[in-house]
Amino acid sequence: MALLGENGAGKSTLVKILTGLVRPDAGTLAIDGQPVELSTPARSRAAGIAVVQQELSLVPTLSAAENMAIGGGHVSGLWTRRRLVRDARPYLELVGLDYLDPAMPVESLSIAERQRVEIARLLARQARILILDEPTAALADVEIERVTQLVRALADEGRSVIYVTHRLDEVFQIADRVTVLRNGESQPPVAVRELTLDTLVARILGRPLEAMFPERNRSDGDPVLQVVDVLTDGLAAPVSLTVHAGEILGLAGQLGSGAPRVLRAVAGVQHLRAGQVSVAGRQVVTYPIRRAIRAGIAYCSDDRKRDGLFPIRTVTENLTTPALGAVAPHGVVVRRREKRLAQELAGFFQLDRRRLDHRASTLSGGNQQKVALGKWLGVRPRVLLVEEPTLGVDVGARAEIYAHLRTLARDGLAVAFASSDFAEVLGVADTVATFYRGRLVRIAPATELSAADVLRDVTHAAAAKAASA
Amino acid sequence: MSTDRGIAAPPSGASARLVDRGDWRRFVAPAVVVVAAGGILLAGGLTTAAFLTVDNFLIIVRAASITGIVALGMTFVTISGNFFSLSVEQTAALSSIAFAESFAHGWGLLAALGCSFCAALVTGAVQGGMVAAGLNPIVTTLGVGAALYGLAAVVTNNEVVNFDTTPAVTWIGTGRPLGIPTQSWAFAIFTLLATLVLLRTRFGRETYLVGANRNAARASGISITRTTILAFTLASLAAGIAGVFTAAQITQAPLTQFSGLNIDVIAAVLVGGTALQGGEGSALRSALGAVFIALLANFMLLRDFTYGERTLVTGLIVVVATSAFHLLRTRGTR
Repeated sequence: MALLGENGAGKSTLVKILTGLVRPDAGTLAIDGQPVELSTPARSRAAGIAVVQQELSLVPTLSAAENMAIGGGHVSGLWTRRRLVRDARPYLELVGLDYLDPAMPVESLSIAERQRVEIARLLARQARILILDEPTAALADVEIERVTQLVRALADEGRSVIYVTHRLDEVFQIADRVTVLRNGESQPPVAVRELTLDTLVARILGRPLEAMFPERNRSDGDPVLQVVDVLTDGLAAPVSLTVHAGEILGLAGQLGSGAPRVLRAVAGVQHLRAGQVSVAGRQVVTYPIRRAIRAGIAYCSDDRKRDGLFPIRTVTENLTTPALGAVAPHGVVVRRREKRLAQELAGFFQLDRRRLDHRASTLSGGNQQKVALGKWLGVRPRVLLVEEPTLGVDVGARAEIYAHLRTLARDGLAVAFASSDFAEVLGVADTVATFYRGRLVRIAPATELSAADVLRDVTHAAAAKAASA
Repeated sequence: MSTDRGIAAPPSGASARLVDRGDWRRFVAPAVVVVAAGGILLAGGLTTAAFLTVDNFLIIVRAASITGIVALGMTFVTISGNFFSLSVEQTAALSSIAFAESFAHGWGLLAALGCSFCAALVTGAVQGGMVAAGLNPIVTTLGVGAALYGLAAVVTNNEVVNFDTTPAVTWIGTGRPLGIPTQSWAFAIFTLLATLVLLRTRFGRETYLVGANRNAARASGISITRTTILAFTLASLAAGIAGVFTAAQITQAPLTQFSGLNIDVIAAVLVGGTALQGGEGSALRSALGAVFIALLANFMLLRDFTYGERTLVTGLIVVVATSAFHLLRTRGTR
């Protein structure tokens, strides 16, 4: 069963109730027809419920086998390395990690592999009901497919899976039934075969969604951002790109494709090993970040928790941070200017102005993303670079963010974003650049590319080249 | 309607999420400190004859001012996410010795002040630079503190430096304009200044932001290096000022004059409720914390607590304050 809903609709609360972290105010829970009491995490676990959280709970320095033994509750005799490895192996095979050495430290694995180790760990605890809370939020498309296959296999084996997600295409691949939460109330469950993407979106929003992607109206402006023969960590060959005023460039690529690296190098987040970056015809130095900002380049990272947000500071302070120089001329913060800027940005991004004084951590994921993105407009940039603009953001806020990107481009900004969601790249961008293993594969207008083209490019660069030759 | 979509009211039962629950916590710490300080005043007045006298009050106010001035500087270090400087005690000693040595060499007041403040500024900037370069702040300042203490011992040959006082020095050390000691004037003015700097200047804002999320601060173009160096320099400078006031007051600079200052200052900052992990806190609250710590120390002194007992109590206060705020904070996020 898939559990869907906008940010703040109550999905996480429901998951917390099932895992014993939150007590329900009313109502009963039943497993196999028997009412159960899930008042503590331990009881929930004993009832066979297990959750794979968005943030994995593996210890990076320990091996996969050791991680699976932690909290397993079957401690008898010595934890010899060999025994742990032997115990771990069958479960690792179950999740398709038979090639993995269980003695390897978890930190050497990819995120997708870690996710599967976590699932294996829960299976080792004899979990019968698996709850996966946005398991694919941090994964690229190919890896998502592996996870969904695994989920399907687990369900076929007779385990129950509750799958929480924002990615609607997954629902059609794996779910049998869908329960939509809206404003904390559940809608009656429906079988997936009775649904289309449009009717599903309408159920989530409580109204039909006119269009996910804003209309393109590319006005051919002057080139604003010119990137010539840039090399940086994670790139195998020099990359050259141009973004015009009014244009949205989408960089498509899986994890490890190097697409986001180009943006990071241009933004001064990582070193430029070779090549030049020009803004409006003038060559600029972009390292450290301060100089990139001064040159009119704004960069919004893919991980707002890591470096996009100050959770314990107010929304206002978050919004005015990059533009502190303008808000605090001569080093003194002018409250009036600060307030005006925050109001202006909140207005543009449709954030509740009454919440400007609240801590950023109290906002929903979608609104946090709007803050992380919106704060950059305060510096009046000429170039806006965004990495994974809608990671962990619900459908409604997602459409809003796309519309904002389009509005900004219409106002004359050069916008470039990197994404591993190819529907997003094709739907939003005017021009698409595809990346594979640190190389730029091709640049083409979005209207001339099909989803199959993009998928082929980002998975098999050589094949794509052969096809286009 | 569409404007509210992303921030629609959450389901009943979870409505508390809309309220910023961090808010009331902000007032817990100062309230506790004020009540506790009142309690000590009451207990002291009732049980100890010497407690509520004018002379004793001047002693308390002076002690609170010295601890308080250093705590104000330390607040910048803590808010910027660098925990504490464990070398303020030694920096204060070094500054007082520089001040005393200058007079012993027959230099004037300005030269003496210059020497002590320079010593403080340099040690602070160096430590800030080291921490900004990625070294652990606790270990760095612990090491530098030990080195400074050693340096001071070498310079003074392990002897107390005495000097002949001048009217100006006497005024700095024991003057009481409008009946209030100079130290306390300085404490009040610095509290106001530090509050203004933290709340109203770009540097102050950057200090909070660096402490709240260092990576996000860097990504927003804030210089972590500059902020860290400035924070440590301010802490050191505050220690230097404390050193000068004390040397001027007792017209000598014994090496061990400030022993226990590190822990007193840390206790003051923590009791005031400045978050150990940075990003939150206020100068005013650290000042309140310092007053509380001074009251407590004086009360214990008058009640004939031994040095060991006094240190035990102060240490326990640090532990209790840290645990209490940690609990408040984690309860708030779950």
